[in-house]
Amino acid sequence: MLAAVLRLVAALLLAGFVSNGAQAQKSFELEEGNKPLVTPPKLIRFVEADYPQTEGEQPEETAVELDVVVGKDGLVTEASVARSAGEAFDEAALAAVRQFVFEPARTDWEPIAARIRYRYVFELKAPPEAITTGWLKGTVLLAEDDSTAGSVVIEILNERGELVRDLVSGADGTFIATDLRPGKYTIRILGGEYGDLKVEEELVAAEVTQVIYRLGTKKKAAYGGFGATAVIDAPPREVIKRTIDKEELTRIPGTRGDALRAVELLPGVARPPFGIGLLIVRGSAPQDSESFIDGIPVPLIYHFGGLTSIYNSYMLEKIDFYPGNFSVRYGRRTGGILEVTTRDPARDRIHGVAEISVIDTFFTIEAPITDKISISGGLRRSLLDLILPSVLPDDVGIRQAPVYIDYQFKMNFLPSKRDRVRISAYGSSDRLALILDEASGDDPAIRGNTELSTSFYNNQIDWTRRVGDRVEQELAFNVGPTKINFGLGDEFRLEGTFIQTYGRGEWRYQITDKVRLIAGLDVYTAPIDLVYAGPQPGAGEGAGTQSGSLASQDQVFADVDTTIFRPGVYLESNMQLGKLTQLILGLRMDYFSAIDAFSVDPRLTTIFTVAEDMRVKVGVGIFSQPPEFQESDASIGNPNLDPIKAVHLGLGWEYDALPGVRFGVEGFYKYLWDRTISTPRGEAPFYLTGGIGRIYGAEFSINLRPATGRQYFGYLSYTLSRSERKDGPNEPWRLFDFDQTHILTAAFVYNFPRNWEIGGTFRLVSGNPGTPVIGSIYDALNDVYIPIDGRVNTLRDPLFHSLSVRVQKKWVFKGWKLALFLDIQNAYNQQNQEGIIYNYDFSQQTPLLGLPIIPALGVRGEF
Amino acid sequence: MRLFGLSLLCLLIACGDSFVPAWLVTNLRVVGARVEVDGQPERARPEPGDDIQVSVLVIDQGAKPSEEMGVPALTPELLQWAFVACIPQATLIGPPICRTIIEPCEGCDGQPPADPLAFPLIGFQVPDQAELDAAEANNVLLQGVICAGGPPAEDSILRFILGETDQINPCEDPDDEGRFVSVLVPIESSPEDPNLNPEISTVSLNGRSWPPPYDEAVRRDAPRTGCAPDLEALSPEDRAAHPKAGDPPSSINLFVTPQSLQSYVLDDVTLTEELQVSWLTDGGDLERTFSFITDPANSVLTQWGPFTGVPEDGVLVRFTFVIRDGRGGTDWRERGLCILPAQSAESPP
Repeated sequence: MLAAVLRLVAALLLAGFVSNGAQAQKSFELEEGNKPLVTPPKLIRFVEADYPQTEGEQPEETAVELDVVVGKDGLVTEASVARSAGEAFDEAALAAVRQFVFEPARTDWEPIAARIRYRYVFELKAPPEAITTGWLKGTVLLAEDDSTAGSVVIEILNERGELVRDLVSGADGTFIATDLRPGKYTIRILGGEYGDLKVEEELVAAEVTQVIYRLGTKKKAAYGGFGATAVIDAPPREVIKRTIDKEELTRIPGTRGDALRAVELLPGVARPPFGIGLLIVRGSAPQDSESFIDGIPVPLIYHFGGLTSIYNSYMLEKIDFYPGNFSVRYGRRTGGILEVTTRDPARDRIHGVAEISVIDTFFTIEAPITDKISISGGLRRSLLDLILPSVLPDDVGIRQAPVYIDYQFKMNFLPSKRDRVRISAYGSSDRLALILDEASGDDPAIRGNTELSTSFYNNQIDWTRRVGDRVEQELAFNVGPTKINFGLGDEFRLEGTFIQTYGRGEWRYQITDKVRLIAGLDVYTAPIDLVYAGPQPGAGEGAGTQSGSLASQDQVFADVDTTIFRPGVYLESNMQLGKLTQLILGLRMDYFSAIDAFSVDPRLTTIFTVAEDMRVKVGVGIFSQPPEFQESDASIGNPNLDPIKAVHLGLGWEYDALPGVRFGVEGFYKYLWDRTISTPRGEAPFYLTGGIGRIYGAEFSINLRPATGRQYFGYLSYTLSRSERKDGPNEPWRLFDFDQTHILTAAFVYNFPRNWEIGGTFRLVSGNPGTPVIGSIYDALNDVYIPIDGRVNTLRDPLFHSLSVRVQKKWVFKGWKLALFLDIQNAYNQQNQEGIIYNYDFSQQTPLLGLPIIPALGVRGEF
Repeated sequence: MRLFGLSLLCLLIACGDSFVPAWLVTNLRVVGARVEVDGQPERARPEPGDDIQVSVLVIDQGAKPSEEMGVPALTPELLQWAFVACIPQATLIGPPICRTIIEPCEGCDGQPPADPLAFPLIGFQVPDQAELDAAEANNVLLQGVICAGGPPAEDSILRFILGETDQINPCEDPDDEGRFVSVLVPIESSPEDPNLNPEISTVSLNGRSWPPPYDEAVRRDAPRTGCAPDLEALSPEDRAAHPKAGDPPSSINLFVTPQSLQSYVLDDVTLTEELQVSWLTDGGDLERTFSFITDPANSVLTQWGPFTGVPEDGVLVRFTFVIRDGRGGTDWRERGLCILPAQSAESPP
């Protein structure tokens, strides 16, 4: 085994040092045609410049060479003259080029900003004869982001204030007024919510006056890269990465503006019951996947297990989701990875957002301190504690109504053009406490003090530095306590504190323009202090859905004081083989102190660029995961377990059929072994290694985004899959607890004129499996009934379907915006079944219905 | 976390509102088992080697009235049962299962009893300490089936385990009412301060003694309807103590003896027992299924509302009150009320 590992490492190093003879790259700025990994921008709207009037003889043909920066959205953000043809020609060319619209440059399909050299050629045409009128031709844009203002009313008034022409610009904001008498005019643009604009223009006979008008106020890009060097997104290291960027994070219907809820709509993600915050990825258990914020694993990603995510969505940049075959950068998990990237604070001026809805209220604020330092912060508090006391039954006393609070702070520091330092602190607190005076319902165990409180406080610093022209270094460190307190009368108690400490160092070396090497290490450690009293924890998944009253279950006690230590190292090589093939080889090694075991995970991804608009990806890799803490702890678990292993196989195809329309098909297969399973009756050693699993399926997706601007976006995805487990060599295959054969999701959001935005999300999902209760045994000692389970997961809930709708109206004022929104989950109040509940002796059953229609009305202000 | 969430969710949305509540007896129910050590019936926990008797309380709605005029009520269905006494397997998950059978077991077999109104009464000897230590057991288990009207199924659970069926029926005839029963008997760990059975001292109705004629028990063969004649011989005060249909709720107060709340030591901590009270009735409307008597109070109270309409000859309502100390001790009482119409001819002027 060790020899094989050494051979693989040697091969990676050798590949890294072998050069294919290409020239050394001088800079990381894109040069047109020099980057085989990059698709250059493509002009899709050319604007003709008028041949300018110049002194002296006018050449029949002349050219101006311009340096043009094309943004991610295809619009020109900068234009400057590289080779002049004279001031007049330069100005005319610049004016025209600034109105160009491009299909943006892409690096491996992701749009990026790009600088190109454009040669604008002027050809002399014979001037029109005896033309006594002039034309006014222009484009109306929005100042905030230079997107088109769409159809707006334009009034042209003469010097006497008389209306001589009124017209409406096109959907692309362009207009043209022909045959106007030469002279001075007042141009009035009625921008509605963006305000009106009044401009004085003078038209000259036989000339076309070209103009660009901008409505509203301009908001500079919050962050254009640290220093003066454009940040280039790292090439993808995974077969499939799905990204939700900041323009969409808070606008998806049914999520109440919560970005992390949007992940549930992505292909391959199963629907959790009641919308609780479980990340179920490609048939993997929730504990098999992990969430990161800025590269740091997060202990709790949702308040109260799924109500709202703990990080304010308005402070996020994007969410990357890796459903499988993820890079060796991530380890200790066999499912999927959710990487949340927070947004750096604005550097232009102070900005803020404040919102209040029926669920919670928050504000955020961000501002530059100096030209190198900017900060941001946010605070949110729930409002549920104002509502809940009025709806609870009378015999439920409230000691602490449910309340959640979260906060975020971030400081961005750019000490030099090569360095970026970020310091952040964020945290979350959830609290709920009830007093049940008498036993609730038919279960004598549910009484007394019932409380739940969770909190964590993360403090993080990361430093990214360009070491020379070819090496980038990223160091990150995080430390923070997490506390959990969960009690249910005298029957259940869990109190724990652990202090997560996490460090990562990663070094990325661009050896040649075709070969990149990455080396990294990350260390996770956490001292744990935990007290537990309650039923013996089972394996969790596959344990059946009814465990009966706590009163009939034996209690176990655990008092744990230990430290978890999980270091990992990884090495990855990214090579461009010829023009069509990218090969990514990775190797990761981890150590798990709780079970004193190592794991070695090789991974491979290959990307074939079949055509300019089509790619095929293949990935295979080994993934390892330690058992859950309670499964390997000596007091209630088995420290002799093995790491859980999985092999992922993925085959993906992506095709840009049309500008803004991307098709994707992904097939996947996962095989799990050395799964942790419970002993048959929970007797010592409580857990064993021996379960296996298999998951296979396919995902189909269509992404819709306009080639330019952000007028709409949409997704359509369908996943067909099967997820099964086997809990021992002599056990039959059974369905996974959250096996959902069919998952269909459609989401579409459209921006209408006058700042109306309407969107909808529809989901059609197979019901979750369930285990029937076929009988019960009367427990005379406790006067309760113990359920007798039938075959595991042989039932299935009916098909789930739901429509969520979001309507938003925005008003734009000078310097600020106001938005009123209504987000309705389950708009037609479908009564979906989420399970079965039984009566006291399990002789009767009734469907457990899911969430009803939930409207959330809110108001938000931004400046 | 998911258990908490589901419990809280059910609390908020009243998950089980459509179900028959657990306090309402609509069919055959096993509601308690009392362990008495031979020669010391007050002791609830046996020591190794002790002989014990386990009586199982079974209730139902009593004899079904005949549909024919003048025909006496039918005898209630005969109970038949089959039990096994054993040393249990050490389990932490799922129902208890037997490891070592204890024999002999008097009353364990499934022969129909001679007395059609008899309840299971099972006697066996607790194994010695060595046997218990070998099994790492600190209790013994009595597990079985009780059926009404027919014999128990001999091997239904076994056939399910073997995959021969996905159905579990406690009785040979699936149409017979039956219950699987498990009685876990803790072994005494403090012989010098043994756990005693708690004792219900009195049960009062609306602040006065429970009115006759059902102030001791209600025969299982007493018909559900036609109880009006039973009140004729009562004094007007006793007759009036039986609520009428449509009356406001009555208060039922249950008292235990002061010795019922025993103190005991667990892990060097002195604790006092808490008595769990199970309220059961086959008619009307009880406020709750469970209550708790905690030190220093020796009583607990609940509300019961009668029917809004009953036949002229009245409806006999059965009550069963069971108390448990959580450590194996049990006691119960049965009472009855005859509910007459609000303007009954039997009512006093």
